[in-house]
Amino acid sequence: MRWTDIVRELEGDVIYRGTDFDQTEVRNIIVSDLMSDVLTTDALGPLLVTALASEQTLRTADLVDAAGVLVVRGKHLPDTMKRLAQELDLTLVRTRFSQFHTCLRLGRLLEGGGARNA
Amino acid sequence: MKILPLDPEQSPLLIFDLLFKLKVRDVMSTQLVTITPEATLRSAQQRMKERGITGLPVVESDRLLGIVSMHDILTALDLGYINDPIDRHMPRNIVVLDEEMPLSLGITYFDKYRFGRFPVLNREKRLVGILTTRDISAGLLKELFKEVDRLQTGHEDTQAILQRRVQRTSTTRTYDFENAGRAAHEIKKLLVARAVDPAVVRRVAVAAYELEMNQIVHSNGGTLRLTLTPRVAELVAHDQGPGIADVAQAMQEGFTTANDWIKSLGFGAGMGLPNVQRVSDKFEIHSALRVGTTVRSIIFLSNPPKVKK
Repeated sequence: MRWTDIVRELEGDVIYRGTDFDQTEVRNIIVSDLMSDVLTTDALGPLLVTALASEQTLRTADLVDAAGVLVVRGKHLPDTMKRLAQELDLTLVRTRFSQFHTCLRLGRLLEGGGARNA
Repeated sequence: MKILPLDPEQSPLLIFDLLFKLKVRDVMSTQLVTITPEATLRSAQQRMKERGITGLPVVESDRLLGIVSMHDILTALDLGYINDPIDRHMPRNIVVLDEEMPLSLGITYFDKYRFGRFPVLNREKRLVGILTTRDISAGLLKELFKEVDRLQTGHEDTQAILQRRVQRTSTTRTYDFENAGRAAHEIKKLLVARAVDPAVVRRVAVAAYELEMNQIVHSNGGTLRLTLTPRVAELVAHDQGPGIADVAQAMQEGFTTANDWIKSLGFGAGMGLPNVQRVSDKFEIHSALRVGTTVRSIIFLSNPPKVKK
């Protein structure tokens, strides 16, 4: 799936649009609020879905070569986080949906988008 | 108008660079075979035969008077004056080159005058060399080899830089979350620049990040040192205390002494040290209470052995 699909499906708010925004094909997703857990995964170019809105979220995402970060529950994002997203050129999107509903919608997208209107 | 008898579309740019850079002096023959004007055309013919050349400058005390070519000899034989002195028959309106001329200009003379050779004079109008197409080819080849040599040496320099041992040290301060991850980010960039396998880069970056985070969360400040050789990345995290009471316990997944505030930042879940060990090919930890902790992680950059999951 593409960022455009994710943003549409989750009514996302694009805080920072990475330079590879249009080209990135997301195939792996990590959902965690615990950054140490994120660091244990071997998934390639994962999308990081988290309720943790801190600079460490972005640092961690950068170190695992994440496709970007999707912050759930409409959390307030500190300005320092926005600046770091820019500095690291990491796409940062926020959605008002809960982690559970975000995962549901992402799951539908991953399965091919056929159930998008369900 | 064609300036050079070479097509820029078809010839390497390097040749053109050389043609403009080189002067006639750089490629001309300086081992001169000459003859005096009183000598006979027959002796000129003999000298040409002996030395295997097709043209002979006629010289009187370094002054060029003319040139005898194979064509002149054939004409002399044909018309029967081969035993005459040279100066009675040699052409005097000769075309010469200046030694300071760029080779690109010199080459055009061969096209323009259809001669096989041109005498070369210096500023004082003394004969200093002779230029044939063969000299040009040989001179260009020699310069090309030099250029190739230079390029190869340049390439070796780049290789040498990549082979060099690199060391980076960063310092961490207690609870300095603002800078947490910066060292790991720089280390990652360094490895990416050296074209290390991305999977290996990730392991080094994860180890660096966890070690950095550990110092920020638990220590009184410390250093993280990366040593990079062509084969190995070594990370040494050294802090100034307070030390770990029970290292075996600290190595267990899930064991943590972190407070809620640290946990709210996404860390302190007791995963740090086990995580470092997981991505390392060699892992050592030494700790003494009130003294400090040193963690050493070694990761092979090429042909990494299988990592335990």
